[in-house]
Amino acid sequence: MAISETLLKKIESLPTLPIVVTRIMQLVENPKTAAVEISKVVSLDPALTVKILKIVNSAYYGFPKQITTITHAIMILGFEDVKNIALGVSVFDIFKSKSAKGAVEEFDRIAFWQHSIGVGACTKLLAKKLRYKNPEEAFICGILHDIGKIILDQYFHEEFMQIIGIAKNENLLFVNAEKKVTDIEHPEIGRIVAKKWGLPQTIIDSIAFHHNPSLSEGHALLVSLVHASDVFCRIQKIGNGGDDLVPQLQKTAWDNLKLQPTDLAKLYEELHEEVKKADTFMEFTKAQ
Amino acid sequence: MAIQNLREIDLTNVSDTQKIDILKKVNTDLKSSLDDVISILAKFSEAISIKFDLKALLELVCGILKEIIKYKSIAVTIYDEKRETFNYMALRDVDAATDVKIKNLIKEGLAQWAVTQKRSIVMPDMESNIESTFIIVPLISQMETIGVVFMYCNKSAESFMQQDLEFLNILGAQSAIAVKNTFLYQEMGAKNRDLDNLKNYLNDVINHMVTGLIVMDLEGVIKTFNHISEGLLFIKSTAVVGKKYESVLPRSISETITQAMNFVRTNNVRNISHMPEYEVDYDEPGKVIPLRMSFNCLKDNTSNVIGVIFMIQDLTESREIKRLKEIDKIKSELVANVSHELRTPLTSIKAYAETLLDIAGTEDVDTQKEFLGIICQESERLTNLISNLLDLSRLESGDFKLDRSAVDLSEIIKKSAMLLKELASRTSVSILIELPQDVSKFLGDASKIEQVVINLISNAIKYNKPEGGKVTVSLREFPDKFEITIKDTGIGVPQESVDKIFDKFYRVDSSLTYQVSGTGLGLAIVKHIIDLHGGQINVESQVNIGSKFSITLPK
Repeated sequence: MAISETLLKKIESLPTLPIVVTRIMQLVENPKTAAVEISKVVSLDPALTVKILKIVNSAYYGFPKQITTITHAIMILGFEDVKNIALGVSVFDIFKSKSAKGAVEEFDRIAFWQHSIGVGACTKLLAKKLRYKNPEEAFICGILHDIGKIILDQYFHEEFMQIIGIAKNENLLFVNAEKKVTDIEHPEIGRIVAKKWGLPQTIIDSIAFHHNPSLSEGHALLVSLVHASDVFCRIQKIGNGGDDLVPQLQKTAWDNLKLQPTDLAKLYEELHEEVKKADTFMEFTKAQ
Repeated sequence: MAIQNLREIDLTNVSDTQKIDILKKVNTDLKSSLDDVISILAKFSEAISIKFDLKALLELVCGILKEIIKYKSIAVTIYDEKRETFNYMALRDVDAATDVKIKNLIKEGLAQWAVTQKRSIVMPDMESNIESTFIIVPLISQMETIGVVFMYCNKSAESFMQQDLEFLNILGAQSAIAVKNTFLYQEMGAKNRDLDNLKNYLNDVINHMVTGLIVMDLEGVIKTFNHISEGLLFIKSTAVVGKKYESVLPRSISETITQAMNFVRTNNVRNISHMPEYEVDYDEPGKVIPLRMSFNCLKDNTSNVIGVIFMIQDLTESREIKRLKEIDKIKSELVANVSHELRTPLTSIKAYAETLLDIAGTEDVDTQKEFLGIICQESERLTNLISNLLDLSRLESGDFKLDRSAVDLSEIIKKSAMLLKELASRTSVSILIELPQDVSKFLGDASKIEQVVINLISNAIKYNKPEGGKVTVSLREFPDKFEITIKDTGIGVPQESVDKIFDKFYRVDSSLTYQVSGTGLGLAIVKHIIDLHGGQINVESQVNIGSKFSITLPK
């Protein structure tokens, strides 16, 4: 049976997003939602509450005062940010590193999440430079862009390891090695799962088209930022997404950035700075 | 029913009619709340966009925010980039305690955080007993930090909705733009004043220059025409500015400008350091004004030539000065000459007189006679010199009157030649006279004409070659005039001096003529006399070959 068919069946058994996160996503869509309402929902999950407070008080935001309640976090950081944080940490939770089990891994999940957070940080950085309206949305889009890979690893581990092997031995990009093994590639797998989880269209498009941003209808700019960030992080060797190659940066994506080649050195410098700030997120990717 | 509770509504046990009612209500609520937001925003934007005074603008912003937020107190701060601090610019109802709290928020870096993160912050005031909240709204316009608004409300932070935060961000952005506009407006005002000052300054400079100034673009349209130009060319600037020079400036000036413009067009003027200058005689009815026109290129800040600047100077004065300098030189020479001329006869008169005194009473009558003769002769010379000076002075003052009678020019020539025979023989110069058979009489002053002829013949003798010189005097009669020519074989007059020999006091190069006594007055007197008779005198001369003076006298 081809993976695609099995996958569609298996998706049913995929873990869903925590109900708390889904609820937050619904609430944030309503402009008349009050901070206290979200705060109530988050408080149903004490672990999530702690994680959110940890992040809002981290260097990532650099807020000068201690933030002690979710309501304050929402008032200060805004509804969207708190939603994205909740979504991010929940996804990390689902696909936590297995290294705690002691198995020697050919695929390093820590490096994988490092790459994902790097792409998130870079997308946010580029979004700010282009004055994109919501840089935090860019951050979460970057973080989740390769979610399809981790689903492959989790549910089609054998095939996944085969792909990793081919990519390594034949010196291919993961996405090209994938074509030799499966009939469905990680962007599409990610897209199906993201859709099932009811994630916003910006995230779905970032997952589905991060190798080909111009295919996105309506979010091509944001997706091209994710695409470019993926390339930049591979160049800067921030984490590892399963192969050691750098894909070609698409011309339209480069044009969207409005950058000169001479600006890149400064961008990389800022990128490493930004990745350092986002370090707190890494904590939640590791098995406790 | 509040809309935020829409999701809470349980519609399972509600009848369809009730459902429709609920949905209608929700729709109306949504619509009215959206209408509210839009109308507040419209009012806000409209009000603040027409204020260009910072204080007045901030007053207005505070007033409108009061309506929207219902704050207890408000402080608008403006960012001081140099000191990296936020300074109060507008305050309302800020008591001492709130003031301290706001300053603490600034000190703790919350204002800075709000502007760097571009986020409004809603912060509970933990120190207050009643539920109070600080709202911190950054004012940012095009990445530039303008300031931060602090609002203090007696309202729980929990009750703020998502849309409130977004709304605050929009108000902040709008206010920032309006504040920025007032800055730009002020800056523009200051720049305009600077420009006006600069313009006045330049106008003053241009109009107080002693040089006429005409500036035009490459099309030849006059842009500037200063006061001096008006005075020099007798044209008002209002009559020429904005018009093409060919159509408004007099021909002599516009032709010169055309030459200069052609020069600018055909040469790579960037590499030329020295531009040509032109001298123009400007014909103003009644007089001719000599002008010097120089020019230079007008360049923009990238050194492209965008026009031509003409500078016009009146040369009348400088020419006059040049002439006066020459006269001064001539007079100095005259004093030296006249002194010499006066002293020579005086010295010999004195010497002979002293000798006579010594030998007075002796028998040597011959010597005494001879000496007295010399004294007499020298006195004659002195008298001549002085009468020459007197003649000239009379001629100049206009007192001189001709005593006209029918004059036989042949006779005058013969008589003059006779009188000078001795002088000629002393220097071995022969005088040749060529006279026609019958000559009609000339109506003129006989003694003055004689003076002229004697003067010219004696010059011809004096300035002849040392030995064997020849002087030819001839008279010819034409239907309308007489012509007397006196030709010599002497040293001649250099070409550059020919025009000047009739000027009083002028003597050709002092060193050459020093051996020959003379006051430099003779030819000036001659010319005056001929002029009075309505005649003309001309010279043709070649150095070391000889000169030919021709006098024509009208019948």
